[in-house]
Amino acid sequence: MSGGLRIRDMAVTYRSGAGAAPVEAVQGVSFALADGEILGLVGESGCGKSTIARAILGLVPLARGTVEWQGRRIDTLPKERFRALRKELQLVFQDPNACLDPRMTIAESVAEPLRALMPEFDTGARAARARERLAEVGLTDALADRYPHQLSGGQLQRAVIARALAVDPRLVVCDEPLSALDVSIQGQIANLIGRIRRERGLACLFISHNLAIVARLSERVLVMYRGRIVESAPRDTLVASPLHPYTRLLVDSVPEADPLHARRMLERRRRASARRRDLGSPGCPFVARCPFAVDRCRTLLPPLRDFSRGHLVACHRADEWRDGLPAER
Amino acid sequence: MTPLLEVGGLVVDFGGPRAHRAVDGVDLALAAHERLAIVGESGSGKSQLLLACVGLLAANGRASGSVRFGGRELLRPADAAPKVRGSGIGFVFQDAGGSLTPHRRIGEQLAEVALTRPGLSAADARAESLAMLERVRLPDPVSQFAKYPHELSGGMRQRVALALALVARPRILFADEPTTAIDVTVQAEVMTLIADLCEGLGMALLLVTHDLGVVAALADRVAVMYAGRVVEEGSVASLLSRPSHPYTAGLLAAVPALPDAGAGELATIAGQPPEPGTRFPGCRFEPRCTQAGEPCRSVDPPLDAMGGARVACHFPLHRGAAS
Repeated sequence: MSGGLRIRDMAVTYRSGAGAAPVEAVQGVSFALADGEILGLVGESGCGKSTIARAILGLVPLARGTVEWQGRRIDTLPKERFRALRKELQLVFQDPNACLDPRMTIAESVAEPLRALMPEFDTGARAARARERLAEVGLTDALADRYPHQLSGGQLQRAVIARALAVDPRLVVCDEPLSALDVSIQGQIANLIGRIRRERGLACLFISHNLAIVARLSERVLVMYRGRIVESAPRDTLVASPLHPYTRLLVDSVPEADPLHARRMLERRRRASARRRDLGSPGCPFVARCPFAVDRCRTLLPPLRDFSRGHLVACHRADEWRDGLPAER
Repeated sequence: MTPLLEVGGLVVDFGGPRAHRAVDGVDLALAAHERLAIVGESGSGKSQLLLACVGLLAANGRASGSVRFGGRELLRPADAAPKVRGSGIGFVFQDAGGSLTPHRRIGEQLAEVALTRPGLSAADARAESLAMLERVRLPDPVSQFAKYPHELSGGMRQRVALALALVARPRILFADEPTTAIDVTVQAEVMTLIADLCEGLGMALLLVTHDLGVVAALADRVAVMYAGRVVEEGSVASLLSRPSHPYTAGLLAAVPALPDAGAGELATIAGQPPEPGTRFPGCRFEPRCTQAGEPCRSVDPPLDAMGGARVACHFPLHRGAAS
């Protein structure tokens, strides 16, 4: 595959001040995203998923590894050359207020990227394009002339999506686009992202801590834990037969509004929380919380291996449960 | 039996440039040892209701109506509510860090609250604080005692905040979104902890959350709030399996579940929650409701008793759902 996005052995390091030990937020992550594909990336706070989004967009430097777009390395591009790529790669993130200027109307904000990236558009063409994109995300002309503080959270997130679409990008990275929204609105925005992606044939990296939403939208899902990918599989495989104990914990933790189910889950977790701790071992990042850990898990980092067509797992013991993880002890 | 906490006709108004009514006439009762969840989305008034009960509204907020704790009125005089905080009502919020003072050691903060219990010596207070840290399953409590809040992880801070809420041995725990800021795989641990603490300390629980999964796991009874009102109330078992109010049904359907196979669209509730200050001639949910008929636009439905439950709807989905 020469098109699409390809990440190889990406590592990103943060320094939190002079003398402090550097923190490896992303530790050797590789994956590919084909043109027009939607790929889910799920993990909990601090696992490095947002850092990956920022590194793809050139907002943080790589410590190691490469980012390729359409077969061309882009992580080494100087700033001004990267700017031209902004027409193709766009980012939608959690907080709409961070990307909408409070002093601009919604339509002005949506037209703004065109001014910078598409100089061939004059004022009238920019305004027309902005209204087209706003209509595409379901915002009326009346709302287009309002200011951000006059819109609800769901309407603001629609505006942010319209702004990302203004330049007709080929890839949109969505970083937690739903987590600031109410439950009744989350579904509206998730369905909107799904529909726009299908209609436009956009490639999309959809990042969230919520496995249920990621699985609903994505064809393939990557699971991250502490800076590494621990499992990667087609959506249905991942949900029905996860091979990594962390993925199963995520699957089990999806909240359900069913008291019997919820209480059974608490009972299992009550037993599980007795185990715990020993951080900073050279072995598997999940070892401290894993119900199946054995000696080699503490000393040896498990590599991400391909188990069956396209199902990758980083677990020493995955061979033992090819037909499904055993019940926890 | 008199309830432990009794909220009657509670109204919360906010003044200033964005004046609005956040809570618009709420009646609720909580019995000793009972666990009640108040569920709703942002702007439903659920958090303001909780804050009004313990006298913690923002300066431009004003509560009227009645809140009785053990028979005593908390809304009047103004110092009645602060007096029950600690040994009467303990509370824990979403942002655990926010309830801890950053520049004071964990141990000092706990001991100070423990001392609000009458007849405790300084040594007792220390012992009591250590015991509470152990109860919230903080590893190695003695060494945590000397630490500052920033030296702990988010999950540990939430445990310390719980210990702080409980160290004066309240009769009710108020918990506002206690698991929302925590990672999903750790949420279950905090939920089991809260359930075990309520059981072990004989406490009632008033839980505020937007998450029906948390309600299902922790509560006996649930009240659903929309635009400042309770629209449905009932036992967790019956309300979650047979919701009567279309809003409750919509919320339940919107909880994202793992797809069985293939990807369907997520269920949604059309429209937006009303902006603060909106006036409603009829039912507040009518603009978003799929069941609405003529009376819904003009007549505000009262919260009627149906069996052991209550629902405010002209066309409830179920009638006489026993709780």
